[in-house]
Amino acid sequence: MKPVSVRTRLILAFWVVLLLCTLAPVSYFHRQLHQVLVDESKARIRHNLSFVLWSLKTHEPFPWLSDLDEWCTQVGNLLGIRITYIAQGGRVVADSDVPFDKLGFMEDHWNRPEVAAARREGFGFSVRRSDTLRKELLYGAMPVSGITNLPPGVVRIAMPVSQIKEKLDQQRLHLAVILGLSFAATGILALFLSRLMEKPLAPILEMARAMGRRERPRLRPSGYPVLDALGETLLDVADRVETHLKSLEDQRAQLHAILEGMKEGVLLLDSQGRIKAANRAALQIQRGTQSPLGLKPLEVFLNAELQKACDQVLGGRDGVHLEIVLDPDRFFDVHVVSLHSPVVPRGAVIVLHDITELKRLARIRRDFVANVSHELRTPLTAIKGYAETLLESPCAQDEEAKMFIETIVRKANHMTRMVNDLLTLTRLESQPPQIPETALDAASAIASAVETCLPEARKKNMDIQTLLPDPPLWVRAERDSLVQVFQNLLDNAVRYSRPGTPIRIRAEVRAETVLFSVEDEGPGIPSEHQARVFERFYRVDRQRESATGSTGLGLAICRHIVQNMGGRIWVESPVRGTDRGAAFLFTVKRAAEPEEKKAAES
Amino acid sequence: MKSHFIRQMEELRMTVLEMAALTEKAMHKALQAFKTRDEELAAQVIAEDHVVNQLEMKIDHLCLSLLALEQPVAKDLRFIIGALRMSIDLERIADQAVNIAQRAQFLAQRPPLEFIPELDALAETAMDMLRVAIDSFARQNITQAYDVCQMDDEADELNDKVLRRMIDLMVTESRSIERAVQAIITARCLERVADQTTNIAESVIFIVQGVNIKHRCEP
Repeated sequence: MKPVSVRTRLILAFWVVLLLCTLAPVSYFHRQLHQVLVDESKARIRHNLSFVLWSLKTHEPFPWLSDLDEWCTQVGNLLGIRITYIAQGGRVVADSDVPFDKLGFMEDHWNRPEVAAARREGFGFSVRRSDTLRKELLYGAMPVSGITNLPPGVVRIAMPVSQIKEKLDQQRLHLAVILGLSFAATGILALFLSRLMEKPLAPILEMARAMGRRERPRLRPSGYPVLDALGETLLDVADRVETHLKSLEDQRAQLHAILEGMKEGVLLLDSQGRIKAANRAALQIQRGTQSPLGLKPLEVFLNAELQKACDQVLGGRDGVHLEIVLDPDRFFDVHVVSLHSPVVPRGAVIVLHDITELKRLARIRRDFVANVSHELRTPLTAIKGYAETLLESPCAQDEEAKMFIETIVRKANHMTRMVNDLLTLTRLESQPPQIPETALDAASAIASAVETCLPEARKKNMDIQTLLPDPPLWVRAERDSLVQVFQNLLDNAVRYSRPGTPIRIRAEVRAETVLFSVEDEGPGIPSEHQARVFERFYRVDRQRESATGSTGLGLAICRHIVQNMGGRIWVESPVRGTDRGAAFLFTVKRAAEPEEKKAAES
Repeated sequence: MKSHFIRQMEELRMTVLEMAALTEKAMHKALQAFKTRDEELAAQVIAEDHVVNQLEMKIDHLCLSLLALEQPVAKDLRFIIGALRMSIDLERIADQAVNIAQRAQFLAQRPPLEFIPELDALAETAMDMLRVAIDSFARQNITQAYDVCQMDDEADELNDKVLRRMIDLMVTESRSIERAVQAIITARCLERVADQTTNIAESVIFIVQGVNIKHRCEP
């Protein structure tokens, strides 16, 4: 529907008011006056009718009905009224306005309202328009009977409504003319007023239009303080909008530049999982050269895992991290992150980070370490073997020589351990993380590790306390790996603690994991080192370490084993609740109790 | 709201693409295992083959229900028929990947055979064809599909060359017969892959243009 303009509304409002103001009182007075006139006419007609009846009754008998008609005509003319005599049954026997010979053609009058009322109540009255005279007439009727020579019937008289009434009707015409004129006048007035109102608004309108075109609006004074204030406010708003727009555009440009400049491929998915935007790097990663917009990741990268990750994120997950291989042999570290804000419907962002080179370097390093370790192992075995043989031979009789040879053996042993650790570490690094399915009772692994470390601990007069909860601790772990973790942690605890202090192994069963801790009462690890002790060859105190015989790889191996089993390892120092020592904590996934054990128990 | 039909067609398309992606990956891994004598990778290819088989069944089911319930016409009908044909070809290619992986496992346990440049080139060609064919389906690109058809001759030629070289080798050195036969089988597999890839390209042309170019390789 088209909106009604202000001008039209104004005119319509004026007209409605005008109509209400004129028509209501005029029609009220008109009605009042009409009522008074009718009442007055009613009284007059009753008098006239009574007079006619009286005259009729006192008149000498009419020999013929034509005489009655004659009489009616004369009296009617004298009184200025129409007199009609209607015999019982409705036949008109005399009428002052109709010649006697035409009476036979007149229609039945018995059911005219006034006649019917007269028959019922003795007097009938009505105001009707006469078809014969074409004007409004007042009718009055009374029953008559018992007059000589005349049939009983009804006498009716009719007289025109008074002159004032006619005048009143004429006034209606005048009123309509006046009303029309005033309508025209108010229309013109409204038009003029609306123009007057619109004129000062024009500059404001122009300003708003300029704002729409993003031009700076010019303020023209209109002469009305309110409108000028509005104009100034608009100007202010325009300035602020412009500033906002500029900063938004700036931000957009910056974001665009950042995205385009990024080495990582970035793609934006809409809620349907179709690509909405992609940066330049992403275009280079995709297969083919066509625009990927509007397609699904599977169509662009031909990788089922990536598509699955996107589907998961669009299905409600917050984010997925995965590694994929895209053709030809390019490795990507992919983050798919869910995107939801109140403004934008749910979507996702894919970030593809090319890690091919990293992978290659890591492989080279791993291969290098593995190769070097292998190459070192052969000469080391020879050195160790020969030195041990020498120790048994007569050459070792000399105290000094014996000491030298012993040092060679000790150092060769240390080096062998280090090479073995390095090989273990390389093997662990190249293995993909895989949580074992088999269930293992951790207590047996702990016992085995304690057994290995106990001789060393005894030498330092230390005690290893195993404080485990009663039921068996079923965990998802490889036995050898778990033993190695405990062994490395116990080795460290024995190595760095003061003689005579205890070492405690604790375990705590949690919802999905089992938390193990190995605590000692040693010097502890300063907080700045805590995050780095799990790095290979990282040493807290370089001076002291070399004397302890540690390879510097134990904790790195622990970390790899634990992570490969899906757990986490960290250090707390001092031990919680005390002021010294260090606690190494790690988690392992819990396992259900194996069926055969259950069966055996029951 | 998309209609049920459009959603099902979309699902069919995505499933075919997923199957294509997995098949390509299987082929890639199998060839990698063959080249680097990686038994573990070969075992992985053999173990993962069932996923492709399941997808083929899923496509069969989707196509059947679409044909039975929706009575598709024109391009939709061609797409469904093309998808059916493609799924068969893709499944066979995945089987060839398993075949190659088995050869790789066998050869990894023997001393390495001398380098066969033609076999390498054949592997490269077959892989390229597969990649381009899948791309042509993903983007509905006719030009690429025709390219694949043209490349098939090259694959056949390379296969012949491998065969001849292996026969020569077997004549001169009987110890390597066993390995040479495995190499010939591998080349044969690759040649089949090239053929089936050509079929895929033909299906793409059939879907997009509605013309059948089987055995002609030109519009």
